Amino acid sequence: MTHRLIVQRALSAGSPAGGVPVTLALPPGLHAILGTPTDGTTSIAELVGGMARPRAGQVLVAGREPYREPSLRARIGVTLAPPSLPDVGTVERLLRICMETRGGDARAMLERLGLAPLATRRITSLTPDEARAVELAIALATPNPLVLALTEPFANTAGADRGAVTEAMQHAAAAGAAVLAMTASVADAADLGGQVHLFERGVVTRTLSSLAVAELPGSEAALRVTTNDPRALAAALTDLETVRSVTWDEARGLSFVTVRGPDLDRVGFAVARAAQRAGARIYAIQSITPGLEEVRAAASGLALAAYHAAYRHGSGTPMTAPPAQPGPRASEASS
Amino acid sequence: MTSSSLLFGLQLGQRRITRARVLLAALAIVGFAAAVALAERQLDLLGSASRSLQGGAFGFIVPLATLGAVGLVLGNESVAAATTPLARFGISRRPLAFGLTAGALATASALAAAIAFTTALCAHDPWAPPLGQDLLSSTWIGALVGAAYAGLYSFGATFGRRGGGRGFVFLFDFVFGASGSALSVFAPRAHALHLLGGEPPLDGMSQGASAVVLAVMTVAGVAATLARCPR
Repeated sequence: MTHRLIVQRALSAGSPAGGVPVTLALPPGLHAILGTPTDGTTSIAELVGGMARPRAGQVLVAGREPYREPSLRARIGVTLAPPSLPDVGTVERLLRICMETRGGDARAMLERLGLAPLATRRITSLTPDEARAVELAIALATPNPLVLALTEPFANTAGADRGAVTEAMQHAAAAGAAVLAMTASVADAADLGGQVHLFERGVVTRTLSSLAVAELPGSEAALRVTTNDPRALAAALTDLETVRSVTWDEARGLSFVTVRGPDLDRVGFAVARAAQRAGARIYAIQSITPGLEEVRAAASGLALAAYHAAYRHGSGTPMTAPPAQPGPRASEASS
Repeated sequence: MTSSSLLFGLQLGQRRITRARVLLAALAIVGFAAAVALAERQLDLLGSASRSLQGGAFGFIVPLATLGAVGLVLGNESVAAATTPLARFGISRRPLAFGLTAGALATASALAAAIAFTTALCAHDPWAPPLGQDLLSSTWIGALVGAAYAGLYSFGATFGRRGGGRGFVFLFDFVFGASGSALSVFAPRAHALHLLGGEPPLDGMSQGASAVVLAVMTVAGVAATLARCPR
């Protein structure tokens, strides 16, 4: 398998990971990197985009170093968690500079994302979300991309059209780019439909298919509803097709109903309809997002269960790989 | 090195310095230089022009003000990091760095010239050369010295994650600039003092040679900055 992107125990100066060496080798295609900036996702974006010189290790895109080669950087699209746009005046001017220097139509991409009005704004007047959206449009418009390294491409992007973002990422992956979506959201990772890599302290600890990701906590939307009549609300919710599971809890003085479904909007709408039908009063609605530790633990459990199930059924060959050995850690690198 | 990349670098630097608060800070620095010169004149009229120029203005205010100007243009980062916001889109860092350094040079040069002009004007005494001549020579010396500082500070800013090397250049100049040792030949301050009528950094060195050394420092500083900047 040809790896388009190789990051070998690379350390990025000033990364929030605080010196965690990042190791990664990815072929062309769509990859969701499930992790947080403290695991090194920001370092990946900085290093792969040639924005930071690796203090140690090696970063290769198609066999060359992005930090040292402008022509290579022109074919890499990057977005960071805190956006980093140069103050060259208006967004329009920045888009023109990008089009002049490396081609691609960033202006058209901004329109496709439904953010055309941002073009006339001054860069210094953009909110962080709007700046992230502009950065995303520029990254997605990268001509003949080798790598797209996008940090949280679906979150805090000033209402950029999610479908258009997914489509552009899938199109780049189909054209031979290694498309990385760095995210802490299991639902976003599952939605992309590519491989999902659990990333922990600089290394990929497990790689899952999008089907396997559907088994993880957080892969579907969940709402926790505080109500006066949980049984009636739960009963009303079970009749609705959009609802996949309902549980209730009356034990702690307050009554909660937990509802799961395909996405937050539809689950929220279902809760509203059910409450109206059951005559239940709703005091609060809260979205439930599992922590990455919970997700990692569930992934380990699922892999272990599949491994044991394969042997128990006598095939002798595990259905999935046994739990992966952890990769190199910061402690090893420093020793 | 494309002209458009160079222009982008210049614009990047220009946007960082053309702000109201930067202009106010520059005016405050020039005002401070004027206040020091007036105080010197008040203290003792005899030789106040020389004392103000060689002491407060070129001994302390110009090195610090030009350090601030270079820091402002580079955004208090290393030269490579200052170019990254545009270099990430595939533009070579070198023309961008050249644009930024040129901006730093122009800013530092203008600021140093303004400080020198104001000091010469406010501290002028009857024993100094005629006012017009004194203002003219002080101004071009200021411009040349400012450019030399900017070149060396830019080179210093290629060292360290945040370009902290320029602080080392400042310290070197501050320590050796008026020391009279052979090392002072590498300090812009020593040549500035010589051009203003002080002792030469090396025995027998002419004022013309000091001016040439300052010009060489400027060019060498910029060239070394570009050489150390990655593509």
